[in-house]
Amino acid sequence: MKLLIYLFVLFLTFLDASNFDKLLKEFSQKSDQSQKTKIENGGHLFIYTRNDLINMQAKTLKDVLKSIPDFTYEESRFLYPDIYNSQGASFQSHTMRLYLDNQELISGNYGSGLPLYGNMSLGFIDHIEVYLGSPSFKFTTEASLLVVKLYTKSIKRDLGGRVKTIIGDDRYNQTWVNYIDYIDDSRYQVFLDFTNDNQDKIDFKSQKLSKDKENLHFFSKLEKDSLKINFQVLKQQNDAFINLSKDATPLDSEIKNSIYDFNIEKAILNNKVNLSFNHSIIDTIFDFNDDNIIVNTDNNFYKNTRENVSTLKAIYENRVGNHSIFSGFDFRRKDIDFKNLRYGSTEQIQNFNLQNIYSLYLQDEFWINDNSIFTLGYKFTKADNNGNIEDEYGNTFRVGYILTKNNFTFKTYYSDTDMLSEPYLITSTYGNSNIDKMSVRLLSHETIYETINSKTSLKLGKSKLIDAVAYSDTFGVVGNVSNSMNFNYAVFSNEYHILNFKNFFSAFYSYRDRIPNVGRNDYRGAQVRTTYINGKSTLFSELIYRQNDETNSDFYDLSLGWKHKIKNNFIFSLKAENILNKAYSTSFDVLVNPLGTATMPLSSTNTAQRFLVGVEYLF
Amino acid sequence: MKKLILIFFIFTNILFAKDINSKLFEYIFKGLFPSKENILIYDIGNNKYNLDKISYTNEIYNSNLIFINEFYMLDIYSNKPIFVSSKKQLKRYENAIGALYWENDEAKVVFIKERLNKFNIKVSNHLEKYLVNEKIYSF
Repeated sequence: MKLLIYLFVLFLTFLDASNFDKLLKEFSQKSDQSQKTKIENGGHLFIYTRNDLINMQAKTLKDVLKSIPDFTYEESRFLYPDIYNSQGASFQSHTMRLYLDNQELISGNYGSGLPLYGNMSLGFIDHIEVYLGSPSFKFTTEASLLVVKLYTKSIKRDLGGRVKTIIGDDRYNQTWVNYIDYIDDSRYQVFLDFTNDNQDKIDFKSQKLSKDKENLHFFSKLEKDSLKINFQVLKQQNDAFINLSKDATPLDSEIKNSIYDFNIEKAILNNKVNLSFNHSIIDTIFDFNDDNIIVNTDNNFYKNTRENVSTLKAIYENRVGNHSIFSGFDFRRKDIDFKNLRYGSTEQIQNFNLQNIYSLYLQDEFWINDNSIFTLGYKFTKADNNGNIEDEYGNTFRVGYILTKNNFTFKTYYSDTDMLSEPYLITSTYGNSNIDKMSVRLLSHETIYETINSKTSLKLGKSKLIDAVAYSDTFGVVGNVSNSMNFNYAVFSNEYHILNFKNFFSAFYSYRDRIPNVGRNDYRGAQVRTTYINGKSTLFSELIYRQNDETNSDFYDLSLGWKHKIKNNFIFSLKAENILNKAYSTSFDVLVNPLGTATMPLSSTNTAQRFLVGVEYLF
Repeated sequence: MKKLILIFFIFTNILFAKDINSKLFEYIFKGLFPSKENILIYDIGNNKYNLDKISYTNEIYNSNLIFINEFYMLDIYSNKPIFVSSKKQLKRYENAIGALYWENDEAKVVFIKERLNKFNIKVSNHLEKYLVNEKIYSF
């Protein structure tokens, strides 16, 4: 008994004195900005912390997107990043939205910025938050069901410069430099990245199909008090894989994008009102030559567009008694100038080139007591379209209840969301001017058990899609599905983190009704990600498993990484991606003969097998 | 005996239940003022940690320490000791006695002897190894 008390006192003394070093080390590994930025009431949340991104050696956003539980990263036949890939469509995932700090990364044509920014470098990013389900209105302009929020590095943690170079097989190379400093009481960040993402060509019907991508990205940010200004330029030159070729034999297939993006925001009236303005100019050149006729007698399609997208947001936030009230007004103008749109030499006229979106919302978070919140929100959206396209009206209703008890948190949400039609659903080669809005009713629940070292959660979701928008192989255009579609999911995840070791495991099962046929497709997946830090070295491993009825195959994407601090400011790294060469592949049904109807599968892996060497210098 | 072991585990569990930020700042502030029953902090920043025997105050003249928890470069007209969050702030504020800052992805702590002496602050044993001389310290 006495011995036990003695040991106990000794333990506390030891803890007080010598453990400060250990505590400081633990702080280095566990402290992250997401503790400040995450919005627990915003929806069901996954976080990739700064240390996760560094230890995973995540180069681009794709490295993160491919491991989000419950989703499968794919690339469309135009090589656009896409999580709900559809065979014939260039893009299908406009319900997923990307944000950089508080600003949406937008595409005027696709709505979601995913096709443009899905492969952007993460060199200037601190951490990433992923919100599943209909998120809080506080950070969305248009309706969405999956939000990925990227946060830029901060001066507190990244003062000074960093330069990193990575080279890999197939002539892959990436170089970026990030610099953060201050002048008087203003902080600034400058970032420049060049990524040459070359991949093995796919041999198909004596053709070599190319998936090479080239990105040049410049980002700058200036902050003074609550004023934040940023400007970025992104230039991309991508080979567009099989593009519009029905038998996957394109002669020439290329998409070039130049994006110029400006954002300014400021909090006024004692931080109760937040005003922001964003303007993006997106120039796109789409050049496609096929060995077969596409339309009439033409085998060439050329498109040159300039999108001007402006967004104005005003958010009022106040706490009145036990109520946290957000209300706001958003205005977005999407002006698409079709400079050239032609099949062969035949010019096409596109009358629909302007969409104005107005949103008005009110959300109340009522703190019933210290442990529980009831949230209720309503958003009204109107899209004004020109070119004889009917205007659309949308309502979003969201109700939620969050209860925290001891180590448990329970989150339950119900949302009814109208997803208005994005311009590409009307103007693209597979567009349909009679398309209607899609509605999604989603009931979701999450139980979380959290201790100081671990977090375990189970997410369950049941959704019904009404007038779902889907591509029809029969008609070659998108249309609304007449029957409602079910989409249900269950995701289990566990994270365990002690001083030098972190493990993340997740597994999911989901099913979606098959369209247009009767029946359903099952999707299964799991992943395990482990990080171990030993002195100056960090070991990382990740295994991503995916299986679904669309491909009937099991896919395993195994990555291993090793990072070593040669000096405090000089880091050497090795990484191998898709080591087993069994990462998730999309199977495209392409015509055996361009004049026939018989199809054959063309399999395309979404993650290249790659071995990478990197060096990083901090100054 | 079993009860005692149980109490011991419950107690250690409570001890570790705080988040890492709170634990670290509690060690630092208590290490700066080991004999004080209640330490009053004037906080400049957004974080409010869950600290034992440490309170926040809105009255700068009543505080024992000013804590600049963000990268702010403000003019501070007070003769109170300041704990900052970067080396640049340590250089800027003459009253800055120490800092918790980030360098090469690692959190570091430093206290400047001469400035602590100016305020008659004697740190606890566990912080002594982080003391440096102002004249030889490179900001």
